[in-house]
Amino acid sequence: MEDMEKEGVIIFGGSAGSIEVIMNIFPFIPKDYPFAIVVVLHRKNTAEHHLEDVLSRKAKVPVIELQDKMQLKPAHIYIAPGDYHLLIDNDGLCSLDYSEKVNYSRPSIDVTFEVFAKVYGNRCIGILLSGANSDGATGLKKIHDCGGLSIVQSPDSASVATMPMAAINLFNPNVIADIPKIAGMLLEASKHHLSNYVNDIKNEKELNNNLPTILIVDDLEDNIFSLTAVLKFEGYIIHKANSGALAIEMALKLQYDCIVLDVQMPEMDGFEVAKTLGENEFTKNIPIIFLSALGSDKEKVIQGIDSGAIDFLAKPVDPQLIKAKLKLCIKLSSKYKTNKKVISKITEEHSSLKEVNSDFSASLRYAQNIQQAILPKAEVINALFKENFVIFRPKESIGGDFYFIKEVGDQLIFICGDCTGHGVPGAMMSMISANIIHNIIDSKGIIKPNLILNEMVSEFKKAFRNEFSNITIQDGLEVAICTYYKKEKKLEYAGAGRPIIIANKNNLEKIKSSSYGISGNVSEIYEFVLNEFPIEEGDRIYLYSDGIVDQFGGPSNKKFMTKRLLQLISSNAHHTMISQKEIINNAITDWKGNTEQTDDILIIGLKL
Amino acid sequence: MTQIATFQIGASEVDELIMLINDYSGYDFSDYSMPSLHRRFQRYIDLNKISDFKQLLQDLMNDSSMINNLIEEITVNVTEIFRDPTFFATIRSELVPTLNKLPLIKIWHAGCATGEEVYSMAILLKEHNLLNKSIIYATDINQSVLDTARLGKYSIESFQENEINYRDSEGTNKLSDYYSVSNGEILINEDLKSNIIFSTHNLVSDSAFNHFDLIICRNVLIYFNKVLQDNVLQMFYNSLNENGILAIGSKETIMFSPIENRMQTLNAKWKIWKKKV
Repeated sequence: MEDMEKEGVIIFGGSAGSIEVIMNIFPFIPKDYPFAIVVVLHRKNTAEHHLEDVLSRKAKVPVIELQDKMQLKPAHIYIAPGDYHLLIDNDGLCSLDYSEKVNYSRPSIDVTFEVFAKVYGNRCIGILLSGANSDGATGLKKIHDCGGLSIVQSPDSASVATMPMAAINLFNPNVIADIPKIAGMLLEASKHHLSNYVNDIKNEKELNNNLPTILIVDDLEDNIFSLTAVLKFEGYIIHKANSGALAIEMALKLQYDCIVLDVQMPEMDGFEVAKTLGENEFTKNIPIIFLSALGSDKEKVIQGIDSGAIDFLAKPVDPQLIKAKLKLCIKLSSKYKTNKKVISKITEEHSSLKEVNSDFSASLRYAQNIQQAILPKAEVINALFKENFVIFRPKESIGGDFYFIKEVGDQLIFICGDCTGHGVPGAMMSMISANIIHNIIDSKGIIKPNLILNEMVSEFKKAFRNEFSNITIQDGLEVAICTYYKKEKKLEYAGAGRPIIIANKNNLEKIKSSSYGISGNVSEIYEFVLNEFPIEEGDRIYLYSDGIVDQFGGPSNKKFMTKRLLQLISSNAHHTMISQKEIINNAITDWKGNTEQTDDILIIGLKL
Repeated sequence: MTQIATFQIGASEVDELIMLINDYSGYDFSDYSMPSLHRRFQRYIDLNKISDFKQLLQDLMNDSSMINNLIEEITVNVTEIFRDPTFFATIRSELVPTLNKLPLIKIWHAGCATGEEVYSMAILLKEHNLLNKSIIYATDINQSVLDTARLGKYSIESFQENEINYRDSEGTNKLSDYYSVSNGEILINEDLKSNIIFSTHNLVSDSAFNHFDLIICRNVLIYFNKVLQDNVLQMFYNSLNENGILAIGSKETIMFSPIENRMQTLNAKWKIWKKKV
């Protein structure tokens, strides 16, 4: 990995007209070039092209057609094979892929640029060359956004400009350069760590971006020349346009800080230019100053201001005056740009918050898997009860409700627990509680519900009282425990704050629980009430946490209440357990409506 | 035209999906080539406009047909008739004379996808009067592409575009001699199918099942990492008869694998090897 830090990759993408470009660049790459060079070109896949052979004769470094699982090395030029997409893994190992074409292309430049962007970050220079389609623009932007340097062959130097133009129209690439300049940059880069070079160029660009940029528009070269001379030492970047049409085209690509506009020009006059710029969202905030021989004509001045200009100066212009006016324009423009930056920063922060949120969700998902692992699987329950259902709807991904069912000899023990709180704290409590109960039943062999509860109280006290911690845990859990003696057809129930519902052919009854839950505040010798019931085949038991009865909703936003739950179960008693599950589930969803879920919801129905 | 931003998965989500698929379907993708797999998952997410990854996991856990669908999406099934014509021309000129001498030719086409290359091979064998004494086992991990392959039904466009492939493979007839057209689809002639056995086989987990004179497995290994590639190559080696022939994709290699020194190169460009005696 340490080596990877030093390594870097130069990656070319191109289509029609790009082979000539690399043929002109590669002879300059010295034998000891410190970076790997990768070339992704659109090539015809029917005819056999021997690009490697042709390039080998030109280049001083080895030129190799990439094969699957090849490791990139410095001082090598790698050509992506035709008809495969080229991918790379985090260790710099190449991988080929014969999946669908992207942008009608295989290899697709976008595909390769995007994976390289992610793997190499700022140790990557992406160069997009001449080509006849728009493949590569999105990928180059990805390299740019991941910290890499984005270079586009200047459209005027490209034999087919579509591909470079697509990138320039999509975003603001770091460098737009012709072939000699690109070659020069690649040589310069080799004198540095690639990441340092990339960062420097990107920063320099950023700095240049901070110098005010002014566009001077005049059809007469002399006028442009004299104004440029006046502004030479003012610290401005000066761009020039000799027609209205060109001025508009340029202004659409760069947010100028001021446009100095001549009025009388052939084809499109200054008023028309100003009007057009004023109608475009991107250009409407650029301050415009008219500079014209008509500056003394009052009517023209008014027309100019009406067309959207800030000021109207007469030629020949006084140097002090134009400098002062420009300063004013630049102030205006920088205010506007700051506002824009603030807005985009807010947007950016918003999306990074989203990212944090998604990291958090990922760890919650893992927690959810862990929690679900302690709950019994449906197959286990199905094996023990022919008819049953479990409704488990935590308020968040994880929660404080838990349940399990154990077979101990001829006895079935089933438990429904509800730890104080929900979310992460609830889940932690539920994990501890479940563990304690398993221990009591498995290691101590206790199966009587009331005795399990007593044992839980003392285990709880032990668990949360130790020499390192003087925190007393007030919170705890509510739990209903049932033990069913299959042979005797007898059910025992004891509850710590959690009642159960028992239903037989004629009757439906809520069985009250002892009034205390399990917590540090309860005495170890508190007597939990033990209830006994004879059971006939077909009798049903319902265990539930308080999530359902406490759920707000309904027409006047009230709690669901136990009464409604009892009614719901009794009026649907003739249905199978599976249907009952659906009915209860729907009832909860309907009741809740758009109200937030109040707490974790757990309901278990078992037919004995 | 509002576009919903789809979820962009990272390495940890790829791991989660691999684990989930393994848990719920038994298919183990952990030794697949990560960059490809990553792209396939992202593609599935983009195609299905999924913005909530957690929901996706939930849905997958609750719906096994969705998992099957995901597996079908991530296993790449792109192929065409007489793909790489020169490869088939090479088989005609360099392998057919050897195959001719065998009393029975057993061929394993591993990772056959929708079957176009299997039928290409069948056509080639027929033209050299070898099909009658050949048995081709065509296998793939993916049941639904095998169904397509077994039917032998394809779009007209895909075949007509590739008529030129057939010609470049030095085919002696016309590609259209081998299929009929109905309802805008082409149907491969029945006689080509009679000696082909289509069956599922998972190169990750299933073992060798027979011995062969020729094993063809092109552009499948690229989706595996080096470890899995080595295992699969070893299985191929074990499944080859004496002098048996192995052909893999032209950008794949057996170099640096455990069988490198036990195979003799027959054609370096098209990656054809013979098992050393």
